[in-house]
Amino acid sequence: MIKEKLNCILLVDDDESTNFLHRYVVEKTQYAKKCVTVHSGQEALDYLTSTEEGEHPQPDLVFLDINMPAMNGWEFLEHYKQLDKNQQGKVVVVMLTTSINPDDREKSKLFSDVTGFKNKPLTKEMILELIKEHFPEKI
Amino acid sequence: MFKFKKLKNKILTGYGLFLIIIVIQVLLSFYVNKKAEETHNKLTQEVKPKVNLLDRYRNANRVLLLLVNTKVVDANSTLLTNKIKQISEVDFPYFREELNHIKLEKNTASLHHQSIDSIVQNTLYFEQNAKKISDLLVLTNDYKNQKKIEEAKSILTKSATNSTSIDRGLAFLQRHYNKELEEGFTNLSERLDNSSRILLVSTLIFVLLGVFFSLKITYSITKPLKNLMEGAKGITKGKFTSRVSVLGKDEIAELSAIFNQMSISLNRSFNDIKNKNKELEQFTYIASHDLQEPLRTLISFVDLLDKNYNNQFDEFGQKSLDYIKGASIRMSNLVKGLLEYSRIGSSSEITTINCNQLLQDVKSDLTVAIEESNATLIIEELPELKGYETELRLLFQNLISNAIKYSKPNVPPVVRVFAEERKGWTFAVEDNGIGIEKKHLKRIFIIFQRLHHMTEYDGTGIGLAHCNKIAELHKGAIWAKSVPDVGSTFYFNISRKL
Repeated sequence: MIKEKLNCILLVDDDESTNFLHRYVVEKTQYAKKCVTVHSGQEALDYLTSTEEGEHPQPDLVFLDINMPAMNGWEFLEHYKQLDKNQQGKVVVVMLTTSINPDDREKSKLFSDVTGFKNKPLTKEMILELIKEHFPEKI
Repeated sequence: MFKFKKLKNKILTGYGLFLIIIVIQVLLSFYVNKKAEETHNKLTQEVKPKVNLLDRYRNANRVLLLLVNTKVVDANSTLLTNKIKQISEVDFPYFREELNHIKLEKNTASLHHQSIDSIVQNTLYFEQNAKKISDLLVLTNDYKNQKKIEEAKSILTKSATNSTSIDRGLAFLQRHYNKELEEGFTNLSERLDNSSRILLVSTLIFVLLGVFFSLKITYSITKPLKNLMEGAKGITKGKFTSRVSVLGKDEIAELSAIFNQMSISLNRSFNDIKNKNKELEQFTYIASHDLQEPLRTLISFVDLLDKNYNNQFDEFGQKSLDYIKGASIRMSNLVKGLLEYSRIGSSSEITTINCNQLLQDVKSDLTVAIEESNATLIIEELPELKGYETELRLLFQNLISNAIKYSKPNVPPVVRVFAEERKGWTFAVEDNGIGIEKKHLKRIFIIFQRLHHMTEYDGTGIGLAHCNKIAELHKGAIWAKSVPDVGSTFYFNISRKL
């Protein structure tokens, strides 16, 4: 257990079963008060720009799939860059189906918002490690 | 850098040959003219004056004899003395002098020396005798002196002899020089005749030679060029084995050799690509085939679990089982699609296809989808063409079922199929569906690329990749034009040369 829970974790993936599994993992850890899943880049943008009681959700962790129909992960990041600071999430992690290929690593350098790459599936250890790295005060 | 030295030399040799021929001809005719002029000059300046001189000499000789004779016979002819003196003391010495000049010329024959000597001698006698007569008969009284008359008469006889000798000698010389003149002119005209004939013949020979060598040089340039062109044409038609024979040693020969090397390496690369492609297709085929096996096992066992232990799973377990089943079936479809993709065109033959018939078949295959969506399928007059029937049918089926599938909610799809002839046939499948944004128009033809979420429109992302490959198989292309929310038109063309 950690001292203080994260406010929100956002999962962006077009695959229903992946979202189901990842949400299960996140909820099981109880590291976050809220876990939101969306199916596309557009839905993610819609969620980030929405307001709840006058405030944007600003998730602490965003897990982003790259290979999605219509707006893929890279295109999402293009739009994400242009969001207001108070709309963006705190930490964005790119999730990969297979291990990273060199082209993607080169491409990721164009996006300063990307914190790192992780391979699917999402695990408890992975989330804990990210919290230790980016939110040490909550441990 | 290439300087084309040898080729340049070849062409210059051709031009040079003609130039040399012209120069030779000009020199030759110049020489012939010069020679003729020299001979002509010699004849008119040397021989002609001699003949004239001899003429005048003979005349003077005759006149003098006549004068002397008259002098002796006619007592009233005292006045003739001056004329006699003019000839015997001025003209004759001049003629003698001239004859001596002729004698001194190196080409005068010794026979002529004797004649000249005899003429000169006789002339001297004649002069003396004329003087004697003139001195003897000065006054009219002298004619009455019989003795004087007798003496004059005897001198006159001697003079006549002198004159005859002179005339004979001069006639002899005159004959000689006349002959020389005549022969000279005959020779000259003959020689001119000959020269012009030689000029004509040599011109002909040189021109023929020139033409021959120029043709040979031209041929030696054009022949290998022609070979090269044919070789290059062969390669454009995909005959990578075509080679060019290397003729000669010039730059074109070098080019031909380079061309051959290029052709060899092209052929090698082409074979490499062919092999690689084959390997790749083989690999895809085997991989997708082998992947089917474990997938089938997976699906079978999930089915078994679902049927036999259904009530023992809680909600999470049941949902997991559904996801496993869904994913397995999806993967099985993907693998099947991949398998089909790898096999496009690998086992079929080109036949003549009636596209109207083909579209009727497609329509009946899609009956269920058409009825469910309440779609209208308009098929215009289509051509008959050569192609791969099974593949073409799949292509139309994919495009039409896409047109039906991506329709706007609550708007019955209207799909129109038509064809236009321009460099082969271009077909179009037009719909009134949801359309595609311009930025996605290229991406849709890439395998496994999808624009929509599974829950909106299902699919594997293989259909249009299939269509692309089939169009390529027919040496054509596929592309789309679209206005979002209005509709899309998919075009593909089929080459006449398959």
